[in-house]
Amino acid sequence: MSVPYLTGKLVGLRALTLADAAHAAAWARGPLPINATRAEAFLKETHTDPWNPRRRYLAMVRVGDGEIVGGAAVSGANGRTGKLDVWAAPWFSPEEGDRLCADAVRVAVPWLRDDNELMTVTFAVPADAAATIRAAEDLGMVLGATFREHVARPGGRVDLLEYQALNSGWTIPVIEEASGA
Amino acid sequence: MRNPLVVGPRVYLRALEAADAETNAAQSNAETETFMYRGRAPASPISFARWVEDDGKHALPSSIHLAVCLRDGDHYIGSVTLHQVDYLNRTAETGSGLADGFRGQGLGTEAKMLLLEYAFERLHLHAINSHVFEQNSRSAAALKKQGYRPAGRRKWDDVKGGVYCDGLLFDLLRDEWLAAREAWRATLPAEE
Repeated sequence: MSVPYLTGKLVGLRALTLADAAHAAAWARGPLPINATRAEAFLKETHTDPWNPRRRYLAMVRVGDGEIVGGAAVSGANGRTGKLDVWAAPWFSPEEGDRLCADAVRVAVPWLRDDNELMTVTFAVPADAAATIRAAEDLGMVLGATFREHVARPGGRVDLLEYQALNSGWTIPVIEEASGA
Repeated sequence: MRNPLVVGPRVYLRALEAADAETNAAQSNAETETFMYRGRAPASPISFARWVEDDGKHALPSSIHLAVCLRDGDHYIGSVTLHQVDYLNRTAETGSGLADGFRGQGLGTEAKMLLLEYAFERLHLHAINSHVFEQNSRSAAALKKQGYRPAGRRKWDDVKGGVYCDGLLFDLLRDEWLAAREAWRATLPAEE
């Protein structure tokens, strides 16, 4: 089930299968528990359209042994814009999770921007995720917005940064001003 | 007032009811503006009823829709919403919409102040954000008046007028909302 074009140095992204229901703690976002029964129901609820799902969920797997170490989701509108989310499994330290997410961003953004030719790919990242921010900027993503204090951390809060990858292959038409004649 | 959740001088917020579906569809079909949405479309009360039904299924819903009603006569005039409610990070995105005929009278600002009161004082959210298309200068001005600060810009966000337009992004912290609410309250006529 590995996907060569979505494989990086540390991790790869692949489609989820029903067998992954038993490992939902890794690929389901957030700290709340999710058992295999609920995970299987979620997989069936969210996997009804193989071509254009409203939101496409992916497993983040470690290169080498294929263990699920996180997840990703892509949502978009009209095949023109996309929003990317990536997260690491909850048992990783923030620094380890940041490195995994950075590698996932390195494979996901070119796939969406260049391969799928999306006009924009939007990605939000906490301001303390240094490796992921560096990966986004290395890919040419630009910082578009800073949402102050939007992320809770033990004992404090950090900003949430919104980056965008803009596809230079798209052109913006210039509308001529009406002459009024 | 029926089932009020948050109450202001002229309007109050309550849960949406199945009986609102007909009014909601009628107001949506009578929409005169095109600048704030991704395009108008005929609306059915069936889908509004389903929307209301689904809204009530979750103990901690990711979106909270509240009906905006006039205190005088209980007339349903629109809705305000907390989207993408994140109970762990304590954030949400706000949205609002009043039916044509009820705009430009300060009712939207009052409803928004009640929604923010609900967000900050009842749900104890820490930060709020909002989004408008760049052509929607009226909503952008309203957000600033309500205390929101510019957070940035989302490029090529949608198509308006035949060209790609950006989205303007805003955020708001509790202290800023409190200050804005004080300023707004000072503009209200004194109670007799």
